[in-house]
Amino acid sequence: MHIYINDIKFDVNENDTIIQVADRNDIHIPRFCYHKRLSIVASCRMCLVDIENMKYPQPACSTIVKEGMRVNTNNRSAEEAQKNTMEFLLINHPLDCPVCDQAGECELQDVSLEHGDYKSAYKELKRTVIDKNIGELVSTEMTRCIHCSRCVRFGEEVAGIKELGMTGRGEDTKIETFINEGLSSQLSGNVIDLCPVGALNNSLYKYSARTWDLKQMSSISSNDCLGSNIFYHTYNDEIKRCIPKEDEEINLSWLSDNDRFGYEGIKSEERILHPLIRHNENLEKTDFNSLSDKFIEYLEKYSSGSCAIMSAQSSCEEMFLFQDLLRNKNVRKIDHRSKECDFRYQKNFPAIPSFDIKLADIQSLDNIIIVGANISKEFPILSIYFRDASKNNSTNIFSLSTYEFEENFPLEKSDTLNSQELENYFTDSNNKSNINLDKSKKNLILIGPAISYLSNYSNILNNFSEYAKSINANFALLGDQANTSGAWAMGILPHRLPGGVSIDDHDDSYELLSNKDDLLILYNLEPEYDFSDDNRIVDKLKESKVNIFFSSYMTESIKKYADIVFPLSTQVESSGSYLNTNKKLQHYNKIINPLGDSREGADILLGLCNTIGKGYTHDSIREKIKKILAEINISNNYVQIKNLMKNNSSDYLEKMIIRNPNSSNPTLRRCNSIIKTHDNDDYFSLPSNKDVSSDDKFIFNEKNNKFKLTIKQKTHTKPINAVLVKIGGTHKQKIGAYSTEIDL
Amino acid sequence: MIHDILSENVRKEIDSIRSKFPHDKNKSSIIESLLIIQHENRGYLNEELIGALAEYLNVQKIDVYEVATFYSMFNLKPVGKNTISVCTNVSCMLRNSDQIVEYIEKKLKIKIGQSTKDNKFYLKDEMECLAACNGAPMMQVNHVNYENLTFEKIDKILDGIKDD
Amino acid sequence: MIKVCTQTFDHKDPSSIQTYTKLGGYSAWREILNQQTPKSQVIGVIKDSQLKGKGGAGFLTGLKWSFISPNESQKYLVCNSDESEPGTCKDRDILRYNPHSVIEGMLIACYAIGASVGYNYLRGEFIGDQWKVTNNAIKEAYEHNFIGDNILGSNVSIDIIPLIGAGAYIVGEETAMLESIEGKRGMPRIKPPFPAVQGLYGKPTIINNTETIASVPYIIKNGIDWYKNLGEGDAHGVKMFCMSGHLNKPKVIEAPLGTPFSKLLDECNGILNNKKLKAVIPGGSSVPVVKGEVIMDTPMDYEPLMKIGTMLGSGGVIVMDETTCMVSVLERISRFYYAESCGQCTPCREGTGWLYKTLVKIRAGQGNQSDLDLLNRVANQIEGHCICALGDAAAMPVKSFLTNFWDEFEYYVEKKQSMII
Ligand SMILES: Cc1cc2nc3c(=O)[nH]c(=O)nc-3n(C[C@H](O)[C@H](O)[C@H](O)COP(=O)(O)O)c2cc1C
Ligand code: SF4
Ligand code: FES
Repeated sequence: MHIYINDIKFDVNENDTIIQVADRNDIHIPRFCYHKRLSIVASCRMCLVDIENMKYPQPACSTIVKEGMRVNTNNRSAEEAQKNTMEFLLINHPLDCPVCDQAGECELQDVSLEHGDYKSAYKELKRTVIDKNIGELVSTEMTRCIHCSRCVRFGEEVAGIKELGMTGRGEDTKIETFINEGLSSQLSGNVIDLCPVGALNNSLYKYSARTWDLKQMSSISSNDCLGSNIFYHTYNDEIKRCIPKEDEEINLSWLSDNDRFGYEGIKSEERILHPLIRHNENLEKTDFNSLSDKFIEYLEKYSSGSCAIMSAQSSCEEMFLFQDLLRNKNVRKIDHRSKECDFRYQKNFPAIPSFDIKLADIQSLDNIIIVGANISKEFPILSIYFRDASKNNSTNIFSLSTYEFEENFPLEKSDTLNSQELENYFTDSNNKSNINLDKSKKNLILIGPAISYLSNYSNILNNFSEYAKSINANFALLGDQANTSGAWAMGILPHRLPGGVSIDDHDDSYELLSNKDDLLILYNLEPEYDFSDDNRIVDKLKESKVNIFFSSYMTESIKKYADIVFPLSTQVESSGSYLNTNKKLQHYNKIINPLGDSREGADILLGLCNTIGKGYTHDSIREKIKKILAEINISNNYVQIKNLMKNNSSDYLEKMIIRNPNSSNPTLRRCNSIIKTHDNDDYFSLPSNKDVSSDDKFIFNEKNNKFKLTIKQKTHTKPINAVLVKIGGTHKQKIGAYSTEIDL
Repeated sequence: MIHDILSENVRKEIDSIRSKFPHDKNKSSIIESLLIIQHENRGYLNEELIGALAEYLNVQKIDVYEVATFYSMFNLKPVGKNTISVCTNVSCMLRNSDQIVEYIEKKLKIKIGQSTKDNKFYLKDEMECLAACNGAPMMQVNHVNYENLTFEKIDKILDGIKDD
Repeated sequence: MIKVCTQTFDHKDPSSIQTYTKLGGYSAWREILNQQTPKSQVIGVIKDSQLKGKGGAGFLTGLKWSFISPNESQKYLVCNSDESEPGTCKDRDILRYNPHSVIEGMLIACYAIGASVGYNYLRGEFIGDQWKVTNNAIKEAYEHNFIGDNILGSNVSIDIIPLIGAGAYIVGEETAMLESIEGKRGMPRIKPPFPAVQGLYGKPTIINNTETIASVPYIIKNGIDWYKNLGEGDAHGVKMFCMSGHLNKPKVIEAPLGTPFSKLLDECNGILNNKKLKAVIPGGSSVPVVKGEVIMDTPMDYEPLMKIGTMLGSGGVIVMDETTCMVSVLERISRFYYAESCGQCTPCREGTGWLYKTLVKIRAGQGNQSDLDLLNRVANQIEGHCICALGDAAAMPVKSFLTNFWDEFEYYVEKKQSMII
C-alpha cells in the first residue's frame, strides 16, 4: 500500500496514520496533542493537512491512510489551516517567552515562528489561570497551558494513576489536580517533558539556565537495576537538569522521578571532600598518597583477617579492581550483600542473576507472579510495561508480598504474607487459596530484591524455583541495586571469582557479619542505611581493629568508627559501566567534575592496584570486563538447593523490610525534593505470633540484639498480627544501632 | 470516614445507580450520584463530598472533580435553596426574557448568578435553552417549568415558595 | 392533522400505559416477538420507510442501524433525549405525553441491532418532570413484561434504562453522550471509529434521537408505504416542528415533511401582533438564518431548505419579526456556543470566545468595520476544523447573519447603535 505526501510516494502499512508516515520519513508536521506513546485525541488541530478531495483539511495525527491518498503538508490550504490554529492558540497564551523556562525549546514558539503570523487581530483580554501548588518536583504556570491534554493522558495511560485532570469547560478549561493535592506518582516528572509549552516545569531547573546554553551528555541511571538511559544537561560544570534519552529496550521516552531528580543529592552538605585519616578522636585531612600507603599496609598486615563489603552501586570497573586488589592480598571475605543474612543459596545461584526477558516481551506473557516487590514504587519504568501487558494482552498479574502494596496496574490477586507463609506458599498443600497457573501458558515468576533480606531467603528461592520449573515459568531476579548483576559477575562474593568461577575451599556456614574480623573495609556503604542488621554492623565496627571507608558522604558512624576515609566521587562525577538486569552492559561517562578532592573510585582502585605492580589501564580493565561477561554462560535463573533445612524462626519476631528504592543509593537518600514528594520512608513489618495492638510494648529480637518497641499505631491488618514500623530514610534515628526505643 | 459523609440513604441510592451499568463501569455512576449528593447537601458540592464519592465508587478523585466542574448543574460553592433558571436563549429572548430576568433581579435584590441574602433563592445564570420554546418566556424553579411568564405570574410563583 | 409521535397527546392521561395500549401501543413489539421477525427485516422496514434522524443531521435511520458491527456480542442502543438545541422543544413533549412510544421504539431498535440494553439519556434539566414520567413509564412497561427477561415468553431479554445528565448542551452530540454515560466530561470523540463500530464502553452502539425512536413503532405497525406517503410532495414522513419566537400562538406541530413554511405559520395564527416577518432560523439556532421572504413558500424538507441555504436541523423553527435586532440575536447565539464549547479542540475553544467577545464589543458601540470582517474570518477558521459539529454550529449563524443582514451590522458599527428602535 502506498500514499503520496507532497507528491512523493511512500510505502505505508494498513493502519498507519498520516503523521506516522510523515515522521518515519522526516516530513515535518507540526503537532501539540499528538505523542507517539499516548492515545490520539486530535484536539489541538495543529497537524491539519490537505487531503485531495476533502473539503476541509484533516488532522494528520488521526487520519488513517488509504490506498493512493494524496496528502499535502505545505500547500496553501494546509499552511492556512496551521496558521489559523496557531492564531487561535496564541490568543490566550501569554507573551512571556523572555521569562519562560521553555523558551528555546518551546514547541509553541517553534511552530509559531514557522507557521504563525506575527501580528494578532485579537484585542480582547487574555485568560489567566491562578496556579496551584502540585508538589516539589513539578512547578506550574498554567496560564501558558494550551490544553493539549498530554499530561492528563500520560497519567491515565502510562503512569496508571490519574492525578492531573481537565476541569471546567470551554475557554475556562484548566489542567489541575484535585483541589489540594500534589503529584505522587513515581513517574510524575515526565509531564514536564510532555508539556509542549512552559506550563509544567521542572522545579529544580526553574529559572536556573537558558536552554540554549546547556550542554547535553548521555548517561545511565544509578537508581535501579534497569539502567534507564538519560541525558544530563549541564552548564558551567553543574547539572541543571536531567531528561530521558529515548531507548526502545528500557525506558522508552520516560524516566522515573528518582532518575530525573536524583542528582540533587550530589550537592549535599554531607559530601566528603578530602581524604581523611583518624588522629586520636578526629578525622583529619590528608593526601591520597599517604592514605593509599596506609591502606596497603593494613591489607598486608591483616590479609585474610579482613572483611571487605562493597556496594552494588559501584561500577563493574570498580568491582573488578576491588576484588583483584583484595584477592591479591589474600582477602577472602569479599561481598556486596550487606542487607542479606541467609547465604545458604549462594552456591546454586546463577552467575548473573537477571530479569531474563526482554522488557518488550513482557507484553506477551500470560501470567506474572510478583514476589515481594512494589513494582510501581521500586521499578517505576517496569510498571509501565506491566501496565501495558495487562491492558493490551490481559496478562494476569499476581502479587505475593509482606505488605499490601498498591500498584498502578491491575492485580488479579494479591496476597499479604509473612516470610514463613511465603516460603510455604506453593508447598503447603493445605493452602487452598494458592494460585494455579496453566503450564501451557507463558508464565513468569519474579523475585523482588526485598526477599533477599529475609532469613529464609534460600528456602523461598528454592521453593519458588521448584514451582516455576513445574509450570515452565521463567524465573527472574530483580537486583537490589544498580549493579547487582554486575557484582555477581565481577566476583564481589566470597565464593566466586569474576565470571562466576567457584572457589573450592568455600565454607557452607558462611555469615557475613558474624565473625570477628580485624580489618573492615566498607566501600560506598553507610552503616546507618545499607545494612538490614544494623546492630551487627555497629558491633563489627566496634570490634574490628581498623575500619576503612570509601564513601561520598559523611555519616555519624563513619565519623565515629573510620580510621581511613577515601572520598569517592558520585556516579555522575565518574565513568564506568553497569550490568543491568537484562545483562546489558551500559557505559556511562563523567558528567561533571568530582566535588572537592573527591575522586573516582576506579581511579583510586586503579592506583592502588598499580602500586602493587598490576599495570592496569582503564582501557585494559574495560576489555577484561567485556571478555569476562562474554564467557559467562547461563541457561536459567532457577535456584535449587539440595538438603535445605526448613527455616524455623518462630521463637522470635523477624523484621521484614519493606524496601524503599531510595535505600539503595546514597545520593538518592539526599534528594530533598524527592523525599518531600514521595513517601520515602523505610518500613519494617514485624509479624508477631501474639496479637499486637496499639500501646503494646514488646521486645524486638533481631538475632542476638534486642530492643524495645512501643506500638503507637497499627497501620495495616495483614499479615495477621504484623506491625508496621515506619522508619524514615531521612531520619537519623534508626532502629537498632542508634536507638533502642522507637516512637511511632 | 466515608460513612459519616455519605448518609446510608445516599449510599443506597448510589448502589441502585450502580446497578444500571456494567459491574466494572463505576465511573458511569458519577453524574447521577453527584446529583443525589448535591441535592442532599442543599444544592452544592464540596471537596469532602467529591472525595467521599470517589472513594465509594473506587475511582480517582480527579475523575469526579473533572465531571463536577464540567456540568453546569453542579455547584461547587453554596447557593440559595431554591434555584431559579430563566431561559434567555433566542426563542425566549425574542419574547422578552431579558425583562423577566431584570424583574427578578429587582424583586430579589440580586444580580444574575447570585443568591439572596437569606439564602432562599439562587438566580442561576442559565446559558442553555430549557426546551420550552413554545412557552416562552419561561423559567424553571427547582427544575419545575413555568411558562408564558408575566410579572404577576412570577410574583405568585416566587411568593408562593415557603421558607422551611 | 396527522399524528405519529403525538398520537397520545390529546388523550386523557396521555403518558399512561393504558392510554398507549388502547391506541394500539406495543402491538408492533408483540408482533415482532410473536413472529420472531428477522432482525434484517425490521431494519429493512425502517430503511425503506425513509425515516430520517430527527436529531439534526437527518441521516437515514435504517441505514445507520445496518452499520452495527456484527462482530461483538455486547451492543448498545442509546436514545438521545438531551434535547438542548436552542429553539427545540419536541422531545420533551414526547417524553411527557407519549413516553411509551419511546420505550417501544427503543425495544424494537434494540431487537433490530441485537442490543440487550438500551439507555435513554435525558438532559439534566428534565429532572423535574420528564425524568419522573420516563421512570414511571419504564416501570409500567417492566410490570407488563414488555421489558426485562424473557419478554412475553419470547426468550428475548432487553433492559431499558433511563439516565439523566447534569447540564451540558454538548452532551447532545452523540459521542459526547457516550462519554457522559461512561461518567466522563462530555467531550466528543474523533470519528472514525463510528459508534456503530466502537461506541459505549467500546462496544457497537446506535444512537438515535427521541423523535426518531418514537416514530419506529408506528412505522412497524402501519407499514412502509403508510409512513412514506405521509410526506407532502416529494417528501417522506413527518416531522415535529417547534414553532417559537414572534408568533401569535407558538406551538409544537407535527406536520408532513414538505409542508410549506407559510402553512406552519398559519397554524400559529401568524406573526405576533401582525408585524412583518423578518427572518427565520428553521432548524435550531445552529443552522443558518434566512430572510422571511425567502422561506415563505419553501417546503419544510431537507432538500428544499438546503437549496435556500439553510437546513431542517432539529426542527426548531425560530421566527423573528421586523422589530428584531439581528445583532443582538447573534450576540445571544454566540454567547451560547461560547459557553457550551467543551473546550477540547482549539478552534472551538478559542474561536467561539473570540466571536462572542467581538459581538459584545460591537453591541457596546466599540466595533468597527474590520470587526465584521474579523467575524467572518474567525467563523471560517472554525468551520470544518473541529472534532464535532459544535464549531460549525457556532460559525454558521455568524456567517449567515452577516450575509443576510450585512446592512444592519454595518449600521451598528457605524452609528454605534441598532438599526431597530
Ligand atoms: C453540538 C451538537 C448538539 C447536538 N444535540 C443534540 C440533541 O440535543 N439531541 C439530539 O437528538 N441530537 C443532537 N445532536 C445530534 C446527534 O449528534 C446525533 O446526530 C443524533 O442524536 C442522531 O440521532 P438521529 O439520527 O435519530 O437524528 C447534536 C449534535 C451536535 C453536533
Ligand atoms: S499543562 Fe502542558 S501538557 Fe498539560 S494540557 Fe497544558 S499544555 Fe498540554
Ligand atoms: S496533533 Fe493532530 S490534532 Fe493535535
